[in-house]
Amino acid sequence: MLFLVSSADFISLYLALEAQSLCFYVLAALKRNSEFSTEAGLKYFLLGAFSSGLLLFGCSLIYGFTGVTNFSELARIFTGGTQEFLVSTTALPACELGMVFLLVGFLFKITAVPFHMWSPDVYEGAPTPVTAFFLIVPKAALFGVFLRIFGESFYDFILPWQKILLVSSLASMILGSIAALSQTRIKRLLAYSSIGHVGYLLAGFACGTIEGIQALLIYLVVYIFMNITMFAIILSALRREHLQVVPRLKYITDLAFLAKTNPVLALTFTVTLFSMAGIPPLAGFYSKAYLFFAALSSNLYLVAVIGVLCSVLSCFYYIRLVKIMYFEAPKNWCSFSRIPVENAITLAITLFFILFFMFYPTPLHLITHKIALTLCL
Amino acid sequence: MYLLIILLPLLGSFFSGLFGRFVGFRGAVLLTTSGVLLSFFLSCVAFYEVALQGSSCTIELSPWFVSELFDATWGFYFDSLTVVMLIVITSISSLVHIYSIGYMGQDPHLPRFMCYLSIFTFFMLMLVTADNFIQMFFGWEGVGLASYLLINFWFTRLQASKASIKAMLVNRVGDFGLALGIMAIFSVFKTLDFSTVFALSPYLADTQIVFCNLEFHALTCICLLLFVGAVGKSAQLGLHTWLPDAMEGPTPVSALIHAATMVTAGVFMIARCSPLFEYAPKALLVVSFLGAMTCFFAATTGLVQNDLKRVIAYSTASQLGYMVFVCGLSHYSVGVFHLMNHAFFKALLFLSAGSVIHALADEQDMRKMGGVVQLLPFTYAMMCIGSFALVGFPFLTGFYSKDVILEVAYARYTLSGNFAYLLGSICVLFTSYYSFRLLFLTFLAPTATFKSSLKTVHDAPFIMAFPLMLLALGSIFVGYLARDMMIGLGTPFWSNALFVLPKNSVLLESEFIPQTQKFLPLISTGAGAALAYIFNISQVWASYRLKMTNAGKNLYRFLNKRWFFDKVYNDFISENALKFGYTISFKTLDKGSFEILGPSGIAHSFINMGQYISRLQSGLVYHYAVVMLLGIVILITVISLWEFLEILLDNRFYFVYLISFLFYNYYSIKKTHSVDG
Repeated sequence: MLFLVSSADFISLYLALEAQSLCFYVLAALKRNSEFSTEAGLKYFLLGAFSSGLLLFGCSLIYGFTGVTNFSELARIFTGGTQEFLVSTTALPACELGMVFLLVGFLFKITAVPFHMWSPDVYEGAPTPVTAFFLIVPKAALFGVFLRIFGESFYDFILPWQKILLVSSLASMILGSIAALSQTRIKRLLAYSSIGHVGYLLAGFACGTIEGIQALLIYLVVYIFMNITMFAIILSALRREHLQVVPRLKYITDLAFLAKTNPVLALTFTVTLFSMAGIPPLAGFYSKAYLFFAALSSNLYLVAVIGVLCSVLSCFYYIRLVKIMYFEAPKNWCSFSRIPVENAITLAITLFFILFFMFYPTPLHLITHKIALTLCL
Repeated sequence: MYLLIILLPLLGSFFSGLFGRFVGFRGAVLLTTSGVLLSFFLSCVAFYEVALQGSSCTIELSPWFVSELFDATWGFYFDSLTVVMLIVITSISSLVHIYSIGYMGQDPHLPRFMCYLSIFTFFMLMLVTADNFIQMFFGWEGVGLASYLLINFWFTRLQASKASIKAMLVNRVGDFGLALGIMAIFSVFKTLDFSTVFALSPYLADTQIVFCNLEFHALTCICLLLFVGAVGKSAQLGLHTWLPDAMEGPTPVSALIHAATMVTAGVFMIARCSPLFEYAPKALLVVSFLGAMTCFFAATTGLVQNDLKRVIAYSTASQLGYMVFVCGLSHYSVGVFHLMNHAFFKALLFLSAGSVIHALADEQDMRKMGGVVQLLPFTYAMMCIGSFALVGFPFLTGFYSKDVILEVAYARYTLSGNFAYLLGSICVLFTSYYSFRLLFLTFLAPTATFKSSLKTVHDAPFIMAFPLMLLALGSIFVGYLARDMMIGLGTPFWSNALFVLPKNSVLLESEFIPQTQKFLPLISTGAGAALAYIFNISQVWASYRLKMTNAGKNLYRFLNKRWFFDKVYNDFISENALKFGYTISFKTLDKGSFEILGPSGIAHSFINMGQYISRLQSGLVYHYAVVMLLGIVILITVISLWEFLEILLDNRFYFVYLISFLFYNYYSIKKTHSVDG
């Protein structure tokens, strides 16, 4: 994955991506005995193969028409005076097409609509720690490398890729918030909510400006922290009916009565959910706010408006979880057993970040600004 | 000092209202009454300085709304018109405060009552001292509010609640007109400051405003709209229905609000806006016609009312009609003069009536009174003075203003002048009839009171008698004392407060009308008194037989039911409005369209969609692959056919999309539900 981020060439990019995906396929099917896990792994593998075919096709198209695989050389070709040459040889539309395929591969990996279909199944089927890994880690790497490709090499194709990203981002936001409304399993719910978050991230990407990228990076960091908290809670073991111990939370109704059995944990979870929903003093709010400001400042009013509306919608299901925790009587009694120390420490750190981000956001701002500057220049 | 006049009643009200629990009855009474009394004394000083010494002044307190050209400020303007109103308001108000101590002494909510009275006084002072229309509107709404609170003071009585709601609603109609008028003024003059607007009115006299593609004379429009406000507040024909019903409030309230002060706000406003009205002759025509008709209508209705306070209420409406039509004939000074006189004798009448009602154990029906002259000699004397002043008996207060009104109307020789004169002089007869009928039935006719209430009957205690005495003095002398000052020929009293175009002034001509016309009011007064005596004392049976004939019955019913105004309003307007409110606004719009567009529609459709989308997640790999393929196709389409798609994504279509989407979902849900069912 580190290799992926630092790749500067289509070949290294593709190889890194494939190697990474291969690991993921294996990871998803880690539990060989579980039907769900193997199904997830298989699905992921098939669809992943499809998408990497597309990616490869895009790469080869570009290589075929320009003869170059290096990112910075591509950038030199596409910028400035050489464009006339490309137009005259009808290479430009072909390169555009190649870029579209490239983008599709990327959107598939980050589970943006309409290439998201695998994600709920895979996320649900895979073992929970793996799901957490899927949700959190590859996004950062993929966004890193693709920000570089599209910010550097294909910046002159901004109009088409901006449109694609816009469409995809809008669709992701809407689908993520609507589909999650009717989910009853917590991992599936989180999968859809992550689709929604990807929509927001793409909105920042689509801005194509420094502010947009900076907002995206801030959002990414906050998103990672929130998801870590989330999974730290979910991964804590449950004791059902005082008899058998199940290793993890499965249905959202399992959370019922948590406020009575474990008030501190319930409070932590509530804060995290509020942050995800974007309720003001928490970190999630700031990240969303930066994104929407960035979108507004690059005249993407529609995205900002729909984003706000979708975040209202997503409030609904986040807060429903809170309601279940605090106000609903459980059907089957279950309580958390003692939370492992590792989880507790993780929870403490991330919760601290979520709660107190508003007091001292400067370091993150500076870092992301630096990154955005280097990516754009 | 000038600010104290306005502030003191507010302070009194504040302390007795919020801290009434702590200061107690005595404290609340003391605070409010002394506040208003002090304010009265200061008003006297202000009267001396401003009116007699002729030094009007403006006080700029602070900005209120500042928004581009809109420059409403908290400012106070004291000229002769204002200080006359100040004297009237504060004097009547302080007497009513004193009277209420006796009248309401037994009420457990006395501090609240005193608080309302004082807050009312404050708003009224705000209204008359305002130096711009917005502040006047503030006071105008404030008195409306105070009137609502006071009418509804005994809030457990259903009638009182109904009457207060009615007063509020009917006044809203008027206030709406006034607000529109103020907006129109702003649109024409670009300011709401009195001095600026009035100074500019001659220059903008020919302006037109365009509304619905039609051109209207701006000042006429403005004046008519302002007059709608005056119609509401001063209970002119059409919006008068609240005034008689407002008699459900405690009697001191009736005296203060519905006789002396609030209802005169309309007249005051017309007088204040005289520079506007003068340049809108058509509006003046309307004003005088409506005033005359109100005068006639209220007088005829008052003839046959049986409720003691209602009779006086209708007489108030009738007198307001006089004031308004004389304003319509451009004699604002006479109107204001009558306003002042009327305040004194009408307050006297109301307070005496209150004293009678108090004595007879809250009996208000005149048919159940009678013969109490020996038991209530003082109240009888007061009532007599009030009635004589009202009917315009020579050398009492009413005489000086009412006769001038009629003479001016006669001397106008215009259509509106003649019309007003005709109705006005008939009304003199009616006024005299109902006033004396009231006197006879209450005090002189053979008694028809319950024995139980006669046993406990008592004349007013000193605290209630004292204000009556002062008001009686006022009713006797004010007209005589103030006549030359306020409506004497060429008096400099008003200076710039009232403006009359020279061609409209006929005070001089009115001195030279035939002598018979000058005596006519006096003769009709006598005739009215005689008729009242015949019908109600000496020939009771004859009047009864007359009433029982067919025509008599119809006429009686027509008049007693107030010309069926309430009936018509209820049946044709209120009921339809309520129906409209229920079926259209509530059922169709609020629970219909907005519900679909709003909460339930969105909730339904999104949950529906959520389930739909999760059903889409079939779990089959080739489905997923197809979706991905479709996605690629769509994306490529988006890029290559962007020019075409752009048209569909026009901003203006978003709303249409949204609505059609919600409605589509709503109906599809309905369809599935009906299929299931």
